[in-house]
Amino acid sequence: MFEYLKYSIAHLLLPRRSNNHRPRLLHPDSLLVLSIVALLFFGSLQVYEYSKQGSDRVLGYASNISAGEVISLTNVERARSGLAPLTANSILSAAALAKGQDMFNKQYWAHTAPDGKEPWDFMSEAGYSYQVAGENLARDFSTTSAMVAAWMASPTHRANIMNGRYTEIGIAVINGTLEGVETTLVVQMFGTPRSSTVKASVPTEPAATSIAEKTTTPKPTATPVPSPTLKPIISPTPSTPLQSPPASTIDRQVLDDLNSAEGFGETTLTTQPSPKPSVLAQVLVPVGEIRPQIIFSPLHLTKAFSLAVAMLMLTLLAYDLYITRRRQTVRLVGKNLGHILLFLTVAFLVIFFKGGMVL
Amino acid sequence: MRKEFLQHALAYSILIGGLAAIIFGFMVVWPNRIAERYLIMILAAFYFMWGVIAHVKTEHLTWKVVFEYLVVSLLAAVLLSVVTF
Repeated sequence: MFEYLKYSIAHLLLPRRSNNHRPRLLHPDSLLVLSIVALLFFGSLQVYEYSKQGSDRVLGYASNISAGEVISLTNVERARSGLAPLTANSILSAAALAKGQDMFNKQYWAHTAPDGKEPWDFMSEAGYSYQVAGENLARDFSTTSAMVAAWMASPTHRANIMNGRYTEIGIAVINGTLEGVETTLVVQMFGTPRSSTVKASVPTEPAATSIAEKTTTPKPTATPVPSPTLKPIISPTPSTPLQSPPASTIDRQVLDDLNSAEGFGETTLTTQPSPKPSVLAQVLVPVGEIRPQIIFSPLHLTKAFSLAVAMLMLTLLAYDLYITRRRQTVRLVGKNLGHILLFLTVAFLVIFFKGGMVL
Repeated sequence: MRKEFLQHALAYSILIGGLAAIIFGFMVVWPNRIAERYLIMILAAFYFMWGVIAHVKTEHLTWKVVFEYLVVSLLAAVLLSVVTF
């Protein structure tokens, strides 16, 4: 038994007569099987993510993103271009929170909800009356700096961050289950209020994938803007409702207490009625808390798997190259050096692949 | 390895240049996942073509070699693709 095992391993990994002087794992049919195994691994991971909807979930993205830091980094980016800092608005934050909750509840990752609800509708419902407005979304990021860097690397999101027409921003950092994975969504809404008397001052945050401009005269009431009056300046990314349903869990909603954010100056709430301050108060929890049941990030698992296979290939190819040179073996096969360069590229890209998605 | 490289310096220079360009492209298009997946397909197609052409030049092309480059390219594409989802 032991001898058979030893023989099998040598047959798979070492160039010898039994494998025509090339490790069996490097034979084309074995490489094909390896590709299928990689796909099966990924498929199993996906199935597992969707099947585990209960409290025993172990896959997810832990995050320590804080709204205050997002605001700070956004204003740093704006300052580099000589733009005025954005000020945080609690009503916009309430709208952002409502949008985030809606995405978890209806299981979608898009600017437009499956039922056609636009970001502007959330702003209107929250009571934010604006001249121009926009929205940026992000998910699966572990740090604020990586998320803001991703927004800045995306031309459309960057355009929103650098839009001098915006004066205010609202942020929601929300934990929940999306596409079967525990994750943190960041919703950033920003705009310019129709009435200058309506604001809560704290610097703001990045990104919008769309901007709407209201062309009608403002309504005197606290409730917001009718949707037909919105004119998109930059079209939002098309909506992509998710197939899988179960939303069930918004485990935790995280929203910075903008009124007490450090380093952003005093918050002054003036005349405009703030429609749902109590809702905000109910969802305030410490930022950056990580749910204990999350053990593995799907990204880290797939990266580890891909890297392991790439390293196995590199080792086998390098050893095979060494042995064939040493033994002066003549074979009619692909170029090991070419394969090595390819898998080095794969390993490099996997190692430095950055997670997170923006929309 | 050095001897092999020097024997086919042009071929390997093209390969290294192409791979470096794809790595650079990956950095540039981030965080656009769709563009990254296109680059992965380009990487696989480029490597397959490189392998076939390199063996045509040395007159060592067989169906087995073509199949080998095909599955190696496929494996590389799969390993990268699963990370981008």
